[in-house]
Amino acid sequence: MNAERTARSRDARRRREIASDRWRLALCLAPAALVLVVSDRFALSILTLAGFQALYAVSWDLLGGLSGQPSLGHALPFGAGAYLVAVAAESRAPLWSALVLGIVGGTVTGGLQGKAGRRLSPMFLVLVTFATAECAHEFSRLLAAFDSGGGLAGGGEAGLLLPGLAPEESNAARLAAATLGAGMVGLLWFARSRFGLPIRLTRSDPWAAASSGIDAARTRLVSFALAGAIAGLAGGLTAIETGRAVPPMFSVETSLFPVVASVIGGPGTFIGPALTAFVMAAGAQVLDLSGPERLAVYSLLLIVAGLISPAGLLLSGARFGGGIPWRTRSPRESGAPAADAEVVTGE
Amino acid sequence: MKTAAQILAGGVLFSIDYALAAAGLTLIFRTSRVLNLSHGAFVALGAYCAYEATRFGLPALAGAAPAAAAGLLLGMLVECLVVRRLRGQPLAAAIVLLCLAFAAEAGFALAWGRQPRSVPFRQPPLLIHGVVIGPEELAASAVACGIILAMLLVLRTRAGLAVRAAAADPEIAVLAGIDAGRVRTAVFGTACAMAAIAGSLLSPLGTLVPTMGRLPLVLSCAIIVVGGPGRLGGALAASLALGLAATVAGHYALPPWTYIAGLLLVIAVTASRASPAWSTRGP
Repeated sequence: MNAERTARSRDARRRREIASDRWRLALCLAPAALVLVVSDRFALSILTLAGFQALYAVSWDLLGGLSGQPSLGHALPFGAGAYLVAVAAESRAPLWSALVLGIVGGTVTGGLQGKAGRRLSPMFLVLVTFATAECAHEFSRLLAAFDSGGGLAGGGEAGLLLPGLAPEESNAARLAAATLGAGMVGLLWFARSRFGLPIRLTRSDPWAAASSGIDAARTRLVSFALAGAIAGLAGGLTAIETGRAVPPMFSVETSLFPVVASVIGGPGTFIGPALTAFVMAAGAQVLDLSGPERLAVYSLLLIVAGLISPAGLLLSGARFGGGIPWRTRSPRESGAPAADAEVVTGE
Repeated sequence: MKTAAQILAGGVLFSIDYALAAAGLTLIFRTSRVLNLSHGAFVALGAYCAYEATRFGLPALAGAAPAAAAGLLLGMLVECLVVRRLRGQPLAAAIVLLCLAFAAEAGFALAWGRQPRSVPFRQPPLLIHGVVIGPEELAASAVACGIILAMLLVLRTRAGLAVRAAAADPEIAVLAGIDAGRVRTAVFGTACAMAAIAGSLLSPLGTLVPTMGRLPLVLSCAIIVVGGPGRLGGALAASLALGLAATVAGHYALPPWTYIAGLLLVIAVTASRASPAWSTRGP
C-alpha cells in the first residue's frame, strides 16, 4: 500500500516537473516569438539590444544565482568582450573570429575576478569585483581621452554585419532571440547536469563538497570563467550591434543591471532574470534613460527588492536550487572545523 | 627637499581628515558586521553642506556642524530602515547600502546639478619654514584630530563599554542589560556624522560633483582592509600611510590615477589577505 502511494506521488511529481519544464521552455522562446511578430525597424533594434542584455543578465545569474558568488563587477567581462571585438573589428579581422576573441576576453577577465575572490566571503567578493570593474572603467575613460569618439568602433556604422546574415534589423533581432533562447536552455540543462552539480553543491555546502572530492576553489573559478565567457559574448554582440565599444560598458550601472534583474526575477532561475532584464533593457531604451538615470532607477529597484524579498520577487531562487547567499552561515551550520570557526567570527 | 616637506605636510593634514571617515567605517563594521558602502555618500553630503556654508560667506569649517547633524540623523534613519531589517544578511545590507549611495548621487545631482563646484579657502595661506599651509586646512585637521581623540576617550567610558560589549557579543551584552539595537543605531549615526564632518573638512581640497563620494569610499575601504576590518588602531595607522600615498600620487599624477591606485590597493590587499581571516566560504 505504502509502495503504491510512493509510486503515485513520484509519478505526480514527475508530471509536475514535465509541465514545469514545458512552461520554462515556452518562456525561453517568448523573446523569439516576439521578434517574429514585430516588424518595425526601431522596435526590432530595441529587441535586439534587449536580447543581448538579457543574455548578459543570465550570465550573471549563473555566477550569483547558481554558484552563489555575487559579483558587482560583471561589467568587466562584458566590457572586455565588447572592447576586444571592437579592436579586432578595427583591425579588419572577420567578425566571427572577433566574437571568439570577445568570448576569450570575457573568460580571462572573469577568471581573473574569480582568482582574486575565490576565497573571499560574499561581502568582500562584492567589494573586490566592484573595484576591478571600476578600475577597468577608469582605464577605458583614460583611453577614451585619446580617442575623439569616446570609444572604439565595433564593426562598421552599426547593425550586425556578420557573414551569412544580411545587415537587417530583423536578422539581428532573430540572432539575439536565438542566442538568448539557446543560452537559457543551455544553462537550465547545465544547472541540472553532472557539470552543474559541483557548482550547486559548492554553493550550498562547501565543506560537504570538499569531502566529496570537489575542489571548491576551482569550481568557483570555473563558474567565474564560464559566466565571463557568456558576458563576453553578450558584450561583443552589443558592440557589433551598436557599432561601438564605449567606457560606460564597464560602468557601475552596467554591473548593477544584471544584479537587479536577478534579484527581481529570482536568483538562480535563469528565466526570471532573463525576462526581467529583457523588459528592463527595452524599457530603458524606449524611455531613452541616460547612464546616471539608469543607475538611479536600478539602485531604487534593488533597494526595494532587497528590502522586500531578496530571494526573488517574481520567482524564488530557492525552488530551483539557487539563490544569492544573503545570510551568513554560522560555522556550526556550515560544519566548518573548529579552527576556522574562530576565524569566521572575526574576533 | 622643500617639495618633499610640502607633500609630507599636505599628506599628514589630508590623512587626518580621511582617518575620521575611516574610523567611522571601522566602528560600523565592528558593531554591526556590515560594510557601509554608503559611507562615501555621507562624505559627499558633508562637502555639499560646507559648500552651502561658504555661499553665506562663512568658512568651510562652519559647514561641519550642519553636516554632523544631517549625517547623524540620516545615518540613524538608514540604520533603522535598512541595516536593522537586513540584520544577519551582511551581503544584502552592503549591496542595498551601495545602492543608497547611488540613489544619493542622483539626489545630489538634482539638488546641486552635475557641474563641478568648489569650496574656496577664505584665509591667506601661512608660510612655515618654506612650507605653505592653509590655516583652514590646519584648523580642519585639528578638528578631525579632536573628534578622533574624543571618540577614543568615549570608547573608554561606561557608554563606550556598552559599544564594545555590543560589538564583541551582542547576546551577552543584552543579558547584561545593554540595548544592543539602540547602541548599533547610535554608533551607525555617529559614524555617518563623522563621515559627513570629514567631507566638510575635505571639501576645499577638491571639486564637488555628485559622484565625489566614490573616491573617499574606496580609500576608506582600502584603509580598513589594510588596517584590518574592525581594528580601530590599524585603521588610523593605515589612513596615515594611505593619505600620504594618495597625496604623493595626487602630486605627480592625474586625479583618476589616485582612484585607480586606491582600487588596485583594495583588490590586492583584500585578495591577498583573504585566507584565512575573511573567508567564510569553506575550503
